[in-house]
Amino acid sequence: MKGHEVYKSWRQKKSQIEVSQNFTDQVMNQVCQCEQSRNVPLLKIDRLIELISLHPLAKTGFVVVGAVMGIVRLIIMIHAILSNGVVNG
Amino acid sequence: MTEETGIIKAVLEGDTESFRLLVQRYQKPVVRMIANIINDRHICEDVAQEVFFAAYKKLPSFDPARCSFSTWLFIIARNKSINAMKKKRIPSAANPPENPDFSEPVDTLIRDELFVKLDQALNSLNPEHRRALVLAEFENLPYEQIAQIEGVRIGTIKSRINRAKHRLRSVLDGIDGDIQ
Repeated sequence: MKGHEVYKSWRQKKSQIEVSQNFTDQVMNQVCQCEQSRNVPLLKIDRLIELISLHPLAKTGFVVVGAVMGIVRLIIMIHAILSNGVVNG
Repeated sequence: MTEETGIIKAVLEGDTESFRLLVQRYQKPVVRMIANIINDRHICEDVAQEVFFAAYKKLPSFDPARCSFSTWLFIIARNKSINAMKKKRIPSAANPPENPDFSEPVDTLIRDELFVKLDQALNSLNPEHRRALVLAEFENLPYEQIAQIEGVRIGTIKSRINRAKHRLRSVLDGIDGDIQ
């Protein structure tokens, strides 16, 4: 038995591989799921705008939530600037 | 326009099902490459699925002027294999080679024992050397394509393959003949 013969048959053995029969289907399932999640909007914006504009309470709630979020953001910004200033100072 | 370019164009235009043709065409080389690099048959198909899914998502960024689709796919496979090895912390002997069956003829036994030694030598190689050897010897890719996949010069690839072969050659040292 020669070295190169052993090497050749080892190479052949390593080159042979069986892939599961449903491999392609599994990949395609992932692809289809990805496409479906792309096509379905996370939130129906049109419906949401319609609801908010129809109900005065919803309008007020929307404005209040927006204002609160703005204030919170402002507080976070001021906190970040002050803490950076303290660290650097 | 080649057939492959046509398939890619169709996928990009929304014909998702055409991607199946690309998966069918490349599933075997991709799974084989990953299996030989990470040395774990159990997870190689999972990693290969990740490769094809990533390829699908990144397909709009594929530029045929830069490299062929197979090279591009092998680059993704290479990166996913490296990540899988890091994530799972796959030891070099995660998939221990099969032990020889002692009921077989002596010649077959000797050959199987050498296969085990060659497997061990392959697993003990530096990952870069192993990848270069796997791509050259098991995938039969030209040096130029391997260099593109690894992002290094052809000379570096030649040197990595030579070193890897030298290591494997040492396993077969006592036997007549040599690795070509």
